[in-house]
Amino acid sequence: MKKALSLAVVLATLLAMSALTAPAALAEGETLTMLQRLPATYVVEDNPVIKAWGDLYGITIEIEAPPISSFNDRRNVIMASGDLPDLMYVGDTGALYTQWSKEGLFLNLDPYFNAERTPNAFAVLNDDELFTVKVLNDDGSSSLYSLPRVQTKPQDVIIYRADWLEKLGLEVPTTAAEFAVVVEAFATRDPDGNGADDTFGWSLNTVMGPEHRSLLSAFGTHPMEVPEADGSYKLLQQQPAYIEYLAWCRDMYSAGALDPEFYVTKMYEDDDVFLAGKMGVIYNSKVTEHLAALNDPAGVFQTGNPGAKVVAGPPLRLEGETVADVWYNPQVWGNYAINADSDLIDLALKVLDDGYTDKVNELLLVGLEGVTYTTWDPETRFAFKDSDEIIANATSYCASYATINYQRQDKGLLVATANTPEQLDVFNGTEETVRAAARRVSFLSGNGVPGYGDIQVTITEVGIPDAWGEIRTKYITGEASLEELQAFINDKYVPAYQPLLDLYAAYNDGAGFNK
Amino acid sequence: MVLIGRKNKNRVRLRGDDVAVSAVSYTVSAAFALLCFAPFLLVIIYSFTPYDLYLKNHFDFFPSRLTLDAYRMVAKYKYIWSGYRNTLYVALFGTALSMLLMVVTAYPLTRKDLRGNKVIMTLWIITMFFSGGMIPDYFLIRSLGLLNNLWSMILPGLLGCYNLILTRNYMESLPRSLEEAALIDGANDLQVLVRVVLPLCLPILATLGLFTIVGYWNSYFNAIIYLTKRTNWPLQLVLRELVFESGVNELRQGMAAEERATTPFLLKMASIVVATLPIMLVYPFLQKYFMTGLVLGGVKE
Amino acid sequence: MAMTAAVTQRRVGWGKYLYKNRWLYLMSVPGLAFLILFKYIPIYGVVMAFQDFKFKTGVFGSPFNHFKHFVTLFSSDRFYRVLTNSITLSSMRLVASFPVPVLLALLLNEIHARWFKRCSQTLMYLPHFISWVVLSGIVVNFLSMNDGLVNDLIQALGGKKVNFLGSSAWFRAMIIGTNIWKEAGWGTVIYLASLASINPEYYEAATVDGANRFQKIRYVTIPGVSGTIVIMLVLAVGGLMNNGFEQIYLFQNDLNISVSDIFETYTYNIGVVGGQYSYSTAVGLFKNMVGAILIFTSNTLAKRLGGATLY
Repeated sequence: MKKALSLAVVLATLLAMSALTAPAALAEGETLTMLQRLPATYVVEDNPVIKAWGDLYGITIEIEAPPISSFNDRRNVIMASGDLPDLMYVGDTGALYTQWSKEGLFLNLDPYFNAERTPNAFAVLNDDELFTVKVLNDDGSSSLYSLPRVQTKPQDVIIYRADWLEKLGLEVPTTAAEFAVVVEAFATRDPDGNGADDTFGWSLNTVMGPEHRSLLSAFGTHPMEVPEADGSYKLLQQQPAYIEYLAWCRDMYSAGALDPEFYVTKMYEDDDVFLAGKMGVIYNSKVTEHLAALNDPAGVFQTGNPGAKVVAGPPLRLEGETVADVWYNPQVWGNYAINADSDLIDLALKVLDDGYTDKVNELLLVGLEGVTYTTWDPETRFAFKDSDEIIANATSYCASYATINYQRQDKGLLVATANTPEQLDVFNGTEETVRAAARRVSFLSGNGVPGYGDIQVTITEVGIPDAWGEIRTKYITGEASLEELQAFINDKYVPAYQPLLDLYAAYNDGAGFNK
Repeated sequence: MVLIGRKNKNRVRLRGDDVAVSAVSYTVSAAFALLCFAPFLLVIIYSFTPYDLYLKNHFDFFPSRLTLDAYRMVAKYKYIWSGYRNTLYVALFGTALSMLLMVVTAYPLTRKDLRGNKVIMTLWIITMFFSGGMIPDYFLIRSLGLLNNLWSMILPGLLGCYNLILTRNYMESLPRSLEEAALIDGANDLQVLVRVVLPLCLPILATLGLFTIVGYWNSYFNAIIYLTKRTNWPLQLVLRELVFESGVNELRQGMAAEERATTPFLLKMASIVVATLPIMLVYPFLQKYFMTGLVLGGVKE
Repeated sequence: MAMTAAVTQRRVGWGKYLYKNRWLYLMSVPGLAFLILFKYIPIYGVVMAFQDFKFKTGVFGSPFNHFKHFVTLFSSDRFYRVLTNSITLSSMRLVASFPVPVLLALLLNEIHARWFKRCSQTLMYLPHFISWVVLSGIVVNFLSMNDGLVNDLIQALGGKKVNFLGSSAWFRAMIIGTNIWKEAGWGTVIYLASLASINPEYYEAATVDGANRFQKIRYVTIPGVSGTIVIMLVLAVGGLMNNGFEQIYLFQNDLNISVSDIFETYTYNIGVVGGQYSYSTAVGLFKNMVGAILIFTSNTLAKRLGGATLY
């Protein structure tokens, strides 16, 4: 009895030791816990795709997916309660992410992010993309605590009513002056021919940020991360070209070309006005891909506006130029971090890194043959589904939200809404034309300070962005004068952001705050 | 009084004050009721209106085409049914237990000079203003082992100070003679509560029962924090997610072309109808208890 | 009023007193247990207001910061705007909205056709079930200057379009008006319950005494609900610092922000700007302290005036 017992103890010790000394790579049969931000349609329980994902490693991947609309509430409780999963979608690159990283809740990826430990992510992610998730250390160096999910976006476009342009004898505008002429004509020359004064040119969407790169490119402003000729840094509001942009908006507003109630517009509501046939231009976060929905004969736009045609124009450019320079920051759709206290760090790292391979990306995005698609063509990235059941399964078991990386950066674009070859042609044709008229300029990793990509102000000045919105909108609607606008910028706005400007200067001057 | 004379002359015929009061009551009530019905009617109409027609005219009460697309989409969605089940569970058990706890807590508080009552009442009122917040609440639920359990949606909101005050206040307004008579007959306090006070409390119980069941029916925030499995989500959370922009976009990707016309807007409208109709059916059953005066048989002050 | 507890209270020892009232105390136990477990055990969370909160160490391990958040709060310009806006809006709301459900309930009480009464009351309570997100969309459709129903009407009558949505002058009226629209019918329920509890013999007695309809309302109905009205009023005064987040947030825009910036939107901004947990706890604590003072003051006042009280 005693012998048996001691034998058992020895055996157990040996087993424990072998577990400790076993190659760190994979732990068969383990359960990797994971936090994901997934749409409501995604079915987490008994999902064959998640099972297949775990099977790649001989493990179970257990996913918690809080409601997408309140993801942050749940995530913050997780962070404060210490109940972190092994691998988690963070969905924040600002102040909270910095705080959590510095408090040591996330694994510092600096020793791991290299060709050996994370070959796939290392091969794919570029400096600008990595910049968005870097955290600034006190000594001026920066560290990596998560990896970004990146989407290569199709070209930004400004979409116009082609039938209106045709009727009024106008061309697709390429400069600010031409744009102003077109939108004023849309507002005043009855483009829909119904005899009523019920149309306007465009709407400035203040929710998505009215300083859109496709419009600002007509004025030659630059992001604050880009230094002036003398090496100093200037906020957008300090640049004369930006004030010109606001004056341009103001003129269009007083001419009736701009939506008289643009400041009421909530997210995507400007789309509705366009779909209703009341407005001739939409620009905000529109990419070539959106043409497919507008050209769809069964879609809202075509059924509501028979005979309507649309055309995509390039971002506006400076007078006399042939190409628009668009300041482009990488489109990062969240980021993934590893719990610093996880027992499965190696496994989590492997799963995270493999997320940057085609194999895992396509598994999470298009799923399994016969279950969520019938055929899949990696060239055109088109998944064909031949039955209602498969269509339903695809919605339940796959989602772009479920991917670790949105797509392989070197694989080109993901065409989601092209369901027919014709749609694909429209898309490709437009993409080519617009790309010829616009140049994307990256700027983040050059002089940017990591962790300050989202501009932050001190808490006492928390009202400044709101106050700025108020004076800007009042200037555009004519309720405030240029003097009042300038006074606000000089006396309130710039002083509130002075610490940030100083930080940029110190970070880049090479003296005290070395890179 | 002059009026007495007039009253005696025509007892049944219309009198000036009657006409005035009735005219004002009927007109104002009807007008306000119609004003309140308008948005609801619009929501129902919108939920059947193709989106392109809505965009052309927001106030078309008789759209030329109707569609069931939004309802079809809601029905397709897998978590709707588990959502209904969970919400029913929470609303029914929550309301029943809440009413029970409310009655037994409120009744002793009506005895103003029962020692300790003032302290208890003050403690309750403090809770109207001070709470620990999300994180301590989470720790409590976790240590009670209630994570991923529907009771985590029921228990924290079981009794609020507001309802407690209203019940106690109502009980205090009841005639005391019956209670006293029962006590003198040798009944204990529990028997007095159950046999004498409760039957008189039907209007307030119906009212607060309505508040409570509607409150549980509409609640979702605790679910976000405490229920990590999607099969545990209540209906309101499911629908909230469904009409959230991204959910709709994902749905649209997998849809056949003719269904793509369905929009977040339509879904939002349909989801209101789906989510509120059942709870609204509860209303007429409870309504009679607070709309009709009680017959206090045998109560003489 | 002479209840058993009162009769035996004086000069009786605790043991005997407890035994005498054992049923009442037994009844109190579950409620007290609930109160302690769910309301008082987690209350330690308020100390976050005095800390620089660290996620890693939590409430028990975060350093105290010598009222830093309160100093920040009281020294920021925006705080005074937020305070003024919050109190102005809620006081106006109290004056304008509070009487509406009372009046509606009194009117409904005068309706004798049972079906009419039930139908109109049911219709009144419907908007309560429509969320602000949806209702605000409908309101915008009504009030917009682009094809808004109201402005089209004004124009048809020869008037000039009114910018309801984008003006600080109209903001409060719009918020209060739509709030009455949504909640007044629902608010009648509690008064109807109270009206239902009025002993019908009082009305009979009044009839016998020859009272007319106005006199019955004045001398029977109103005294019958006055207790509830006072309680509801005291509670409403306690809520003077609250305006609700959703409605305000949805109607807020750049042109009305000078009056629409209130505590709820302020705390929301702080969360968005920096996820400042402990700072927003401090703001909440300040707000609730004021609320508590208000409710205890108004309750004392109600007691002095001889009305119903909270405790």
